[in-house]
Amino acid sequence: MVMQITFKDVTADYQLGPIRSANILKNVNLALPTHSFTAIVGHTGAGKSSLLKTINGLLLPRDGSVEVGEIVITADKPKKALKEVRQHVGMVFQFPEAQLFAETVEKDICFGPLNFDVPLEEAKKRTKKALEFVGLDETLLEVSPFSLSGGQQRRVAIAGILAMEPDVLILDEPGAGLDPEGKREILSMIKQLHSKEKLTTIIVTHDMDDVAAYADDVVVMEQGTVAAYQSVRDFFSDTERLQNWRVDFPEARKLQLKVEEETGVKLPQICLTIDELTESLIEVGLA
Amino acid sequence: MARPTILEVNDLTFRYDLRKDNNTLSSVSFSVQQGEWVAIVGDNGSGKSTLARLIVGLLEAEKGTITIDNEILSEDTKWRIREKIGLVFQNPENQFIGTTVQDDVAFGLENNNMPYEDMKLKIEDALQLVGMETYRLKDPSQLSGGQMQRVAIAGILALKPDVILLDEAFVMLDPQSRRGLFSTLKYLKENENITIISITHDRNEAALADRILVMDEGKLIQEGTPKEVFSTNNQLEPPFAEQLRRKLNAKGRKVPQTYMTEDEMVKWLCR
Amino acid sequence: MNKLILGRYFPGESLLHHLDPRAKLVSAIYFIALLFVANNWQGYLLLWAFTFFVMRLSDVKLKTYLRGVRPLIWLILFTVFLQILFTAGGTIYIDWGLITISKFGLINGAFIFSRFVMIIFISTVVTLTTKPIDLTDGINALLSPLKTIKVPVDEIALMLSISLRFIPNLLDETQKVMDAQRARGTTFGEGSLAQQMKKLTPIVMPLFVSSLKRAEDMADVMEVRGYQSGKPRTSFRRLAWRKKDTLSICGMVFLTIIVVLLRNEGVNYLN
Repeated sequence: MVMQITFKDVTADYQLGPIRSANILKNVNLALPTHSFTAIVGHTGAGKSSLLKTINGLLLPRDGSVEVGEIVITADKPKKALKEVRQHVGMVFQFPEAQLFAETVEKDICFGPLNFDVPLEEAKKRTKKALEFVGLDETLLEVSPFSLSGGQQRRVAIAGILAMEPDVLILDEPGAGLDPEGKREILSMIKQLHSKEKLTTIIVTHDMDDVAAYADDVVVMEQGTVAAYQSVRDFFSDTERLQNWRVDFPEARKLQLKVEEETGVKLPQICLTIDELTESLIEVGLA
Repeated sequence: MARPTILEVNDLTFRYDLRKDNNTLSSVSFSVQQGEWVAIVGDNGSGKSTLARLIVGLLEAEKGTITIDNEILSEDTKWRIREKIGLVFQNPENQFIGTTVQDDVAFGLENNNMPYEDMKLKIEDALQLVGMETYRLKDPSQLSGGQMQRVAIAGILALKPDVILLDEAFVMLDPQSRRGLFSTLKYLKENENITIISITHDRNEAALADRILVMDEGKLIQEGTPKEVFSTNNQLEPPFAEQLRRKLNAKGRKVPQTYMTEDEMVKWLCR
Repeated sequence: MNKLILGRYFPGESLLHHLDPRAKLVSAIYFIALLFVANNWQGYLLLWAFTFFVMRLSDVKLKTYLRGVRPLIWLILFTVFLQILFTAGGTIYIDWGLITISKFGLINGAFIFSRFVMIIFISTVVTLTTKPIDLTDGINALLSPLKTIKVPVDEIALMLSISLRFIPNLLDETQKVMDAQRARGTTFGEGSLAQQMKKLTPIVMPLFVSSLKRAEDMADVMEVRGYQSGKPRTSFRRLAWRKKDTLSICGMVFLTIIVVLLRNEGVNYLN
């Protein structure tokens, strides 16, 4: 399904206890095309999570509107629109294993689909498919999610979102706290899903190697505003600006900059991966 | 110059479930010198965290001994030993006991029944060592994960320990906070002669160590410098520079045939 | 969750914010006792004036205080209503057999209403202007005489302060889990009571699991950092009694004298 996400002048704030926080999103204008894979980066408190929440109406804009496909979300809580948008937008929170609650893995994964009035049989079918997709065995269906390892719990939680068969998938640091291998598995799974199911995918991450390896575009959030929206390669090529934002570089790019500084030799391209760096080094005759 | 041994683990064996035969740790032995930085690596379930819990006496070994600063760990000595070795846990939030930064650093000192005036000085010193002295009155909701871990380290430093043990303490932090903490640890090792034992699966963290211990299925399977371990162990993903060296090597380039650190790699490219 | 005002702290810099928690607690308890000393409208007028004066001092809007009364308003009105009905004496305004409204009844009702609302206002002033942790320290100090009869006051205070420390985390987590389940299609505040109760499981269960995990983590942290229950420990947190605290107590004494002088010996509507 075509699911372009458009932010039109979105301003939002939180009511945190007695104190109304300053605007956490300020005049955000942004259009993410359908089927794109976007990484959102920025410091803690820059508004990344809030931006994600406005996409499925967990945080309503005070001014402006968010459009997901045909659905429009504005300040005056349109209940029907909220339910509809949540059906299309799957949201995987940070440490999603913290949302598991049911007695069995199957019941937990079915929870989302059943809430959206998917018939039980269909929900169970989707559950099996989702479980297989996240790389877990069907025998786990009847097991309590709390008896699984941390990494498995994370997969079950993600399967719970996939079973809703969303068109937009949003993930807040899906690899946080996992070992390098577990993290890579989760992220390549997401990438695979993205291309197979033609999803519109948005992830928040601190790891620039993930940005380089998986995303097409980057959104930089800074103090509640969009500071930049570019393709990954353009984004990483502007060295000075990145340093100003105190944004990291992918490891290949980091080493490239170091080598360029030491040798004075400019490599022919912006290297984001180890393969690109290897080739470039050979090309200029440094290796 | 041989430095004194600060930690000696001898034939350590442990099972979570005594009815089952699979040991969580079987016959692990190693020793760590004063002022050394040792990284313990291995997959999840290799027994790394169990080892950490045994060393600080949160678990009791089935067999074997742990000696810290010439004192054997036991029910009687564990409280004294815990002043010499501090453990930094994984979750920054859950180990922040105090209401403010200084209260949290004070917690361990209060437990030692230290007079107020002494505490004040020690807290000040410890916070300075980790660069958190200006945050003294902040509460945890105003701190980042990295800052909370700094406070946790300060809480240990205030007790003037010999060893800081980190159990995947940086896994929940972003790369920048991690790097900041690495240099803090390096500073503590070099200037305060503190021994660092870090349990980790971050290759960059492991590469910083003087020595790496590799655990697998409850056994210590390899021990050596990062150079030795990363060049011979195919299971471990090496740091980026070494990966690059292997790529270049595979492409038939004349790179050196042994493990290279980032600096060595840059130097070689600039030759 | 945002509706509850009683028990919440509003950060601020007013005179009341800077008073010692012991002074505030003692004054508040004392004031509540005074409410039972006053027995005529002059006395109540004075106490009302004092209450509003203190509320002004706190730099918190009157609206906020009124919100604090709102959850209890039906209980208050019900009690007042009973008082009006069941107090006889003086001129009778309405007499419908069972329902009789007399002058004394009305006056008595007004007094009861005043007491209720002033108790809420004054306790709200204390909690709004005192950090929960300072309140704990204050309670700890005030209860410390109980130590002589072996009440573990320090331990209770420590437990209380640790619980308070984690309340923000618990609230955050509740919010997160609610968001996560709403994203999975749950809508809260809809359907029959039974349906709504059922919707609680997906929230309560994860919170329960994470709280258990947190408690375990914290127990480990406390043990490793040398906490032994029953062992004497010092406290880094200090309360500082200053001149303004003494003055505030003097103010209370002054208020007492006036209230006592105003007491109407002849007619006592309340007894």
